[in-house]
Amino acid sequence: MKTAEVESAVRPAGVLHMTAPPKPREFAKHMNIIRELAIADFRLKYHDSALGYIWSMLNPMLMFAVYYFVFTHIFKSDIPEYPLFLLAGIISYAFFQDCTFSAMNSLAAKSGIMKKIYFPRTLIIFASSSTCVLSYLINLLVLFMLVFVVKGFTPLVLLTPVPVLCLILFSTGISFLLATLYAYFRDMGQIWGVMVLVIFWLSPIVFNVETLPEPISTLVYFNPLTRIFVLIRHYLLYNYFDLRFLVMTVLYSSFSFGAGYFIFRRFQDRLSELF
Amino acid sequence: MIEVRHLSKVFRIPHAKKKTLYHNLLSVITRTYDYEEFFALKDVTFKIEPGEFVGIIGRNGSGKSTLLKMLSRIYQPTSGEVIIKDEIFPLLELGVGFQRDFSVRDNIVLYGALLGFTRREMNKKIDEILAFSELERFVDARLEKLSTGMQMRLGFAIAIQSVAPIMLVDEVLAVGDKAFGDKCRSVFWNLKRNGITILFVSHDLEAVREYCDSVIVIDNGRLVGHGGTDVMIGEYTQLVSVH
Repeated sequence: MKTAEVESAVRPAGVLHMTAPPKPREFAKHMNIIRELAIADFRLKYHDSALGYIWSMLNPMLMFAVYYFVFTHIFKSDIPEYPLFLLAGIISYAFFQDCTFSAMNSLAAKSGIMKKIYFPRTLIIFASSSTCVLSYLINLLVLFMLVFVVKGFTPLVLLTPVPVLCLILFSTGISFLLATLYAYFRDMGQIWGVMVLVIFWLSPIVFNVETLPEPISTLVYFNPLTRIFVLIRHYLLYNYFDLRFLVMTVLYSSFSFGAGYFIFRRFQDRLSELF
Repeated sequence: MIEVRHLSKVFRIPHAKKKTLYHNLLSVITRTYDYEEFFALKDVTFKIEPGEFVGIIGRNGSGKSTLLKMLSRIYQPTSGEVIIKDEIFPLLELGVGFQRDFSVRDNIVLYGALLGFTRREMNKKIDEILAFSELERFVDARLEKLSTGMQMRLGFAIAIQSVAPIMLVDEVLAVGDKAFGDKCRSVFWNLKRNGITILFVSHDLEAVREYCDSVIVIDNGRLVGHGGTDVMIGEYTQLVSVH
């Protein structure tokens, strides 16, 4: 008897019929909300100053300096173009970390808005992702210039946006999933904080997965980020192309985005009651 | 037109705060699900015709705001139906999403976006908004430098830029001083004259008497009645005096 009542409380059985404004207008409105929220987040993040951006670069730069020292002077890495290799890995990983944490923080920060105004909650995650994409693109631009100065132009560099897009899709998909979990479990932030550390060492950031011995390399390839990072370096640094590898990566990145998006959407109408 | 049929909303009130994965796992393992159910709204049915100005009154915690939130899609109904055949604009709080570190101008654009306006549209409206809120001199000041009253005025001036055939208004008339109150009053009369359907939650019985064509009284999540303004205000005063 009690359980039947509980069920009805958990699963909303009520119906809501509403005539919304025409679709194109609705879409334009949503894109506009994403843009304005992203701009606001970006400005808050960097405190409206160029110096703010430099501070945000401090962490990846310090990481770069430490790992560079350790892996050239202590462990003697034999990876070609190691500084650029390392930098590409670190800023891409930093984006993944930034994007996933921002999604959870952004959902918490916008709980007040969610309780007062209705709009699809997916826009919050799209906006927080966009903010992180913006910083990532600035970092990439710097990296591109460094690559150009050091190595000159190689044709496959033009393909780099493809794995970058894969990384954006994959990270946004994971962000949707984490944000959904975060709404139910507030310690998701701490749990994820430990997990990203594991993910860091299971990703080819400071080391090269293609020269690892067998059982370990399979384990590292099990991490979806691995293929994306490998692809970015193939195109950006080594002018190397493998079609099957690329197709696989594009497929699972898109899948992860779609899955995350639909899971979040399934729960989005309950979010305002969970905060 | 707004039609509400047998609408109920149940909230769970947990006995212990369980918001982490750890606590949830713990309660699954020990098989203790500790919460009470609370009907914020129970079997509410009413119908509002286009162009009606309807007051919703009730004691604190009677479910007025929950009702507005369900009409504006913020909360999901537990059971029952809500049928709304028109575009709806909920005005539940002023200045939602205001950033205290941003300038007045930037806040106008941001709040406008959340209400469905593009940056260009807001830039066209900015003079009107500043004039209405009497904040022309502060357009580039940071929002936190403004007094609470000024911020509310700004919020109101931005919010009334969007007009939908149905508007839900939760207690926002109590904004600013007498002069500004008069201005707000004229805005509401204007909406009423233009045939906008308005649902208006308020504790200010004078205001309800002034605007409303009919009144809905809610108590403990149940509909006490929906009828003529004077009759329903009478019912409500009786309800309050009994408790």
